[in-house]
Amino acid sequence: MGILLDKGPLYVEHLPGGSIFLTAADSFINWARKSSIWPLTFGLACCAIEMMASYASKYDFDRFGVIPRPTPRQADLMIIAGTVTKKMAPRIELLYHQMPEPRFVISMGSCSNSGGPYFDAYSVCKGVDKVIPVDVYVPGCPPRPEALQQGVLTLQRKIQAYSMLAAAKRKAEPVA
Amino acid sequence: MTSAELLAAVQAKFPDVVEIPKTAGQVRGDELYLAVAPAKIAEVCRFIRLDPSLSFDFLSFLTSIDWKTHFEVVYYFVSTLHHHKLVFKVKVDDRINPEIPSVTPIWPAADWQEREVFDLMGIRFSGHYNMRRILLPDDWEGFPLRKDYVAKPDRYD
Amino acid sequence: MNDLTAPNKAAEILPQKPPETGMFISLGPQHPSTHGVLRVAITADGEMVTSAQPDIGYLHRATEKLAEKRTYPQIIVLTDRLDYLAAMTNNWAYCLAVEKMMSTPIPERADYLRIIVGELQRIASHCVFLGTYGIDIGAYTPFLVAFGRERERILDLFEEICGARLTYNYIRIGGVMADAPDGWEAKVRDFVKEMWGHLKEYDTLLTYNPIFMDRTKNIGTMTSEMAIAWGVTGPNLRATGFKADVRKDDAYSLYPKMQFDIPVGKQGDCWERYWVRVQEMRESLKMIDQALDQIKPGETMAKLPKYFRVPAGEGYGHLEAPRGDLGFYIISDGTPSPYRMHIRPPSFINLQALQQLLKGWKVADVIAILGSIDIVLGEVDR
Repeated sequence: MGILLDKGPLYVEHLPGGSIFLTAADSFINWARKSSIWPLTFGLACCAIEMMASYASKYDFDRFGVIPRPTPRQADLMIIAGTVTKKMAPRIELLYHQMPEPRFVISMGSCSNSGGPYFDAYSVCKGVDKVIPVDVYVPGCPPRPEALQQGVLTLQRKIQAYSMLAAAKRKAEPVA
Repeated sequence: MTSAELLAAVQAKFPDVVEIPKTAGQVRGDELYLAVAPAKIAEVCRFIRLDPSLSFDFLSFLTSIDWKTHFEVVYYFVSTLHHHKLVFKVKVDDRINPEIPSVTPIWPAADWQEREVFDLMGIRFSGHYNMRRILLPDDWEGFPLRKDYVAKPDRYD
Repeated sequence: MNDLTAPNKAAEILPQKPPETGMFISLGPQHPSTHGVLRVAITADGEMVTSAQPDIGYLHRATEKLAEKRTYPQIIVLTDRLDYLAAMTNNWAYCLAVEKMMSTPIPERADYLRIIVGELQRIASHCVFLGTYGIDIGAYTPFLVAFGRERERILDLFEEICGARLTYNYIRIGGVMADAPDGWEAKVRDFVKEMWGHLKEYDTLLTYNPIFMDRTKNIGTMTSEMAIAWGVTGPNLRATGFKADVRKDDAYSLYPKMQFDIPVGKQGDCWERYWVRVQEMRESLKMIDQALDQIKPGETMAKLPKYFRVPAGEGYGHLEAPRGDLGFYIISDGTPSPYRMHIRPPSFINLQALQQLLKGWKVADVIAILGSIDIVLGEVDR
């Protein structure tokens, strides 16, 4: 359990008939969230093929608990893989709002990071972060499947570091 | 049929269709290039499609070029029966409301290609059943492939 | 052969205004079928489709406009991303057009390497088609086998020769970027030997699987007349029984020295479009073996000046890409960038046939037919 809770507090007591684990709610809930991130199957362009390759047998994603879901209503993560055009941007916004919280976004590839090789095209958004908030940026054109998996691992570290208590406190006391 | 025979066959029916000669120092393929007037394009196309010795039944591609003073629409035809090729170039002078007849009733392959030419260059094809934008959003202003197009920055730039 | 000179009945086959009655289903642009951002607006009368209008443009990246600002070698990077499942053939088609205009002789070794990587790319692209078509129909194993195993072997070979897995930028104007490293040709031969066995595996997994045949036989039939009228090329046209292949009709590179057959179907249904692609993989394997037998050591790049100029004029170069007849029409005015570049995209022109092809089939068949046309949205929208 130690490596999974990433140095969170852990108190174990063995009793006849079982054990008691005592830990912080944050650690435990974040561990559950990060170990079963379910992304939306949402590929736009070439990066989608590398994303599919990372789901396939050679660079298996299932070992991280990542299973693709076809509908945004059941997904935690949206991997924007490919160029975001101005025609597609409102639909991406709609899909993002259809995902229930907690939701995360990984921007995969140069095109969704900043426009990529098409940065001076008239019909391309200069980065998907002009449309939705992004948690992790994965550079590459296209990024290798290992790079995308490192992006998901970075997201896992980010999720583990999240504190619900701190977020509730921020909500209760808005920044002046 | 060789280029000379093709030219003779077309000019027999439409004498005002002329060959575009290769200018000095210019590279070009060895297909026959013909200049057709915009008003006549539908008739000439119907002739080359239906005439048994020509039988150009395959429209390979259809595109447009902006030459700053005028537009040009290029058609590339192939005959699957006789294995010869033909290129039409249609000069459209009007830059405000360019319009030429559509060849979609003759080759359905022209359907989306004409819509793309309208979308990106602004040349209308009269007689097309669905002359709407295809690649850009429906509310896009302007025709991007024109040389004088200036992109309007919006919230996505 | 069908009489293709009969007066065209275009008025009957062109779609008219969508009917007012019936249920409207908007399929996409985000849907689990992995073909990219395509939207099909379907009007259905119960289970039967009465009208289907594909709605595209969600991946329009303005490649043709960008080409006017980039220099000729820089455009090869853009061409990679058109049909991103077959980047080698995209590069090759563009280089064919430019080399035609410059009349550059290509060294023989470069031509053989181009053929080897081109045919390997065709096999890789058809592996993706096989895998994703299986998923569309409901079979998950062919995806893991064809996409996750065979295609990864091919991508390993490509990574050794040019360093990239998907967007290679390998075939350059005048030759290829780099020579094959030592031992690469032996690895390709090993792969070809193994692939013959794997193709037999696909036959048992998918091709003659009764459920697959039930879902794809006699579905979405297309006649040669209809295909030629709509400008359909590639395996879709060959499945209707019409023998047309740019590698034989308008042979380029060293294909006249290769011996291969052109598989054709009979009735142009979904199963035959699938079957033609599997047979094409076999022909590609034969061609790779022949090219490996004939290749000799030599130069891989023609002697071109560092900043070369393409003479003024125009040129059209086309070849047989895995999806159909891919062509580049380039107009040059002597400057380092083209004046106008137009891409003849096979997927774009194949997709418009869907307006007629989907009418009268059930909604469940729409996915089967759409998958069998094998489009890539990068090429459709450019």
